[in-house]
Amino acid sequence: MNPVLEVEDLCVTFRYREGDVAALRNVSFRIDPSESLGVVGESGSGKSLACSAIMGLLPANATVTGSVRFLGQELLGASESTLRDLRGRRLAIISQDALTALNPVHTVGKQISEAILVHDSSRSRAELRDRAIELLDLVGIPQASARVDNYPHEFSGGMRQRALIAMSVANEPDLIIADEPTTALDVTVQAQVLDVLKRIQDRTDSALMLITHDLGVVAGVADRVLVMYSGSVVEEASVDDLFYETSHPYTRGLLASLPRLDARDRSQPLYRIPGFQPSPADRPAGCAFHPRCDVVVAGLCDVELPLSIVAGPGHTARCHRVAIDGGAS
Amino acid sequence: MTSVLDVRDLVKEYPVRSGVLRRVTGSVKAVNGISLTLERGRTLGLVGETGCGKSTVGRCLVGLIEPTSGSVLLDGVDVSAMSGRELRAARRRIQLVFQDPYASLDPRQSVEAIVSEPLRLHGLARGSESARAAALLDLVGLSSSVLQQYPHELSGGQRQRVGIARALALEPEVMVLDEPVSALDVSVQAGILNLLEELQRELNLAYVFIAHDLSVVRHVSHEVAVMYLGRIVEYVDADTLYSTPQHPYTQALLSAVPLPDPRAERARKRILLEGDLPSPIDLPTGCAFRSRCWKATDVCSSIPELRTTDYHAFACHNADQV
Amino acid sequence: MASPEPSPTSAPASASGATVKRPGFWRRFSRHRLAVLGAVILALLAIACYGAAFVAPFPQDQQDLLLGPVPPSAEHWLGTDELGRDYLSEILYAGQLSLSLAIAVALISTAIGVFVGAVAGYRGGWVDDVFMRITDLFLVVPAIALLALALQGLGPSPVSIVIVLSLLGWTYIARVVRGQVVSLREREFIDAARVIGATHQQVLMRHVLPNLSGVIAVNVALAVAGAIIVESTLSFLGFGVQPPQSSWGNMLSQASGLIGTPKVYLLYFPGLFILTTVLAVNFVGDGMRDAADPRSGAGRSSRRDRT
Repeated sequence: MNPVLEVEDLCVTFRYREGDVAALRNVSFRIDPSESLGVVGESGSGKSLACSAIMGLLPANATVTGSVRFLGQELLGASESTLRDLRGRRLAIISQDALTALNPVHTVGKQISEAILVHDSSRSRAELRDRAIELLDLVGIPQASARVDNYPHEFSGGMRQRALIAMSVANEPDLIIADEPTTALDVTVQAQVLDVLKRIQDRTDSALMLITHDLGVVAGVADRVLVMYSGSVVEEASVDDLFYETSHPYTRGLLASLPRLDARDRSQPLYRIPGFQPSPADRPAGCAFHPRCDVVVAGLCDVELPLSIVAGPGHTARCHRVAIDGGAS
Repeated sequence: MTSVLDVRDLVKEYPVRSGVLRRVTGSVKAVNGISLTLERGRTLGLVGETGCGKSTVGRCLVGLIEPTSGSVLLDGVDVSAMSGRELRAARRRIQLVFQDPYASLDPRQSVEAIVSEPLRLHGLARGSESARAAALLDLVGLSSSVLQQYPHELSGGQRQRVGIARALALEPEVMVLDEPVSALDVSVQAGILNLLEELQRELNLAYVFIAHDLSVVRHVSHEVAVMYLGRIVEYVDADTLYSTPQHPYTQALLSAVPLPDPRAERARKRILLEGDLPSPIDLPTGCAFRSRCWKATDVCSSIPELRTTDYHAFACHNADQV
Repeated sequence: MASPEPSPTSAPASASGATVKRPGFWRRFSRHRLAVLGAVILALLAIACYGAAFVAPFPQDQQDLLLGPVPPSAEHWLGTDELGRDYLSEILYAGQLSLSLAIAVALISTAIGVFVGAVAGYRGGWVDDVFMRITDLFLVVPAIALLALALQGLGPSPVSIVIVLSLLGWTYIARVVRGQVVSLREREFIDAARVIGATHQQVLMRHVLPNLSGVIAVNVALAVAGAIIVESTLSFLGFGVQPPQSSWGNMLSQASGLIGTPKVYLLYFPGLFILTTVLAVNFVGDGMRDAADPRSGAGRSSRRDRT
């Protein structure tokens, strides 16, 4: 089965007057057709940067190396017209801020129609409008035939996000990249939006790359999960393996520090990973996580960068301890 | 024994102006009759989504916003009608920790200036403001080397600790925490929550913990009040709220929270609310939640009162227990 | 007590991921080459003019009627004027008055403007409306005409010039400050100051004004430039500084008919000093504006700094 997206050794380096900073280091992963991949990390982990790199939206002082193959086609270094052809048609992007992603002076219906028109000029105005209404209905906007002529500011935040989803999937993309789509939304609205995303995904058979900091969202949406820390992928596993057979100490620490809705014993203080995530310019030698790690191996973790070790079927972790405890390289 | 905080029928109304002459055409009741009590050493979680009025309640409690009606009693003394010097003195007993750790610190002030400002304003610890500031920083787990730094040199977690230290400077009895960890990463959040709990134990502080993240509220609260469009719809101790919620909105809220547990997520049946939050200018008659409630019947055209059975208060005509 | 929180070794990450120590005001200023040049020129001018007693080659107002006007030469670098006075020395002494007037006007008008703008922005409501309508009124009036009239009425002494110019010059800074204060008022640290018990005056003095210091500093610089030009214009037109007092403006005025004659240098040199001063002040103002904005220079905290 050919993957929809294949990222190999993606590195992003920023050039500054004071020197170069390696923001992303050797990020590799793949997404198979119809699969949902959750990319989890705290701020500064590089998850949004990876997303920007894949979409070709990095600032001028960024150097990108490695390979990003979408449906077999190399995206890095591709011409702007190639990228434009793919974006919106086979590769859809949903961002966090739906309000700024939508043009305030055009109706929602017009924007959806335009998303289709840009890639398929054969349809008539009436056909486009019908399709827009159909899509709004699909994403659960009530009275779609009336609301298709509304402006974005007449929609609530959750509805705007759903309208954006409608726009993104208008052309039945092979891959939807959603960058923190529900972070700014209330929890009940978030539930609606995630439900819509799932239904849409089932309908169009698209693969999904969902970037978020919320492990709860990942548990409910993803098939597989990538955990990012300080510019690298530190763990990759199926969603069950990640939560129940956690391998990397950072992931373990993260899960332990979450306050739980279903907590039994609330008298215990939350586990807190000591220290803080280093910025790319301040990374320690060796494993970026080692100063905060409770199973650190002195002499090894502070010197050598760990490789991606196999911890189980379809489960890798970038950790020396995992290697020592029996994983294979 | 009087509660340290006693809020009675708090209302905050904002006039709505429209037309060329900006006439007042209606009003929005951001807070529509809130009553709650808090004891020393306890935490009341105030939860709700956008537009429920919880932040407005918080600001009314500390005097940033003047309520339209109702009273806020601190140890039996009504502070809601105070102004001027009286209010300034009363302010020492109830303080606020803000959501955004960066915006709530003056970028031009050093940490020492920020933390000692309350002392200087009230003439406390004269001559030893610096020492007191250092002691406050120690209380929140920051080393005194931070004193000379400026907010932009600190991490988000550190800034929030500075905000907490500042709030503690006047030795308040009640702390209102307005989304204190929402702007922080998960691993930093845990540290702040632990700190708050420790401080509560050591100083017997009462907390009003305003948040939208129900998992966080669960962890810190003894009692929880759920707000919807300016009213409290359910008010009970935390364990009961999370195990047997009575109000449909609470049930929907709890069911919407994603759990970091794939199996539990797959097994769940989510309640998905219909429609959107009604506009607060144009509320439906009767129960405000009616337009989205799957249990709504004709009787819901009358506003349900908050009724208490067995220490569990909720405002619903059709709740399970009824 | 609580488990200690370690400090990052340097400033938090910028949106692009790099960590750079955010440079201070003067370091950012010093990156602006023109601004530094301007500052140096101004410093030299100030020393030369105020220290004219030591710097000027000839004493003030030393006339040599037999010599008369002489073009620049080795003895008189900028030549001599109609009364045989060394022009360079005269310009330097006149500079004392021109610069002093400009600085006084800049400081006073800024003080008025900051007060009006800050109060209007902070109080809002009808106070804001009233103050801003007054400001508009002052802006609408044709300045030079009004100045001329006022000076006719008050008599053209340096003091009345300063008063009149200040009364007309505060409007720009008032608007700028008001806008800044309106946006500052919404910031949470203002609320925080109220919650810990600060009165409105205390909030204005301790939190609002310090955060305006960049804007104010820039305005003072630009006001100096503006004041020099207005004073020169007025004096040129005959309403400002009157002889025997010299300012650059009235030196220009006295030489106004000399274009095309061999004595045209009497016009150019004061004009050159005015031009240089104004340019230098503008460069310094640019530099200060850029330096006051913490977003200039490398690195800025990411929009949602969650660490």
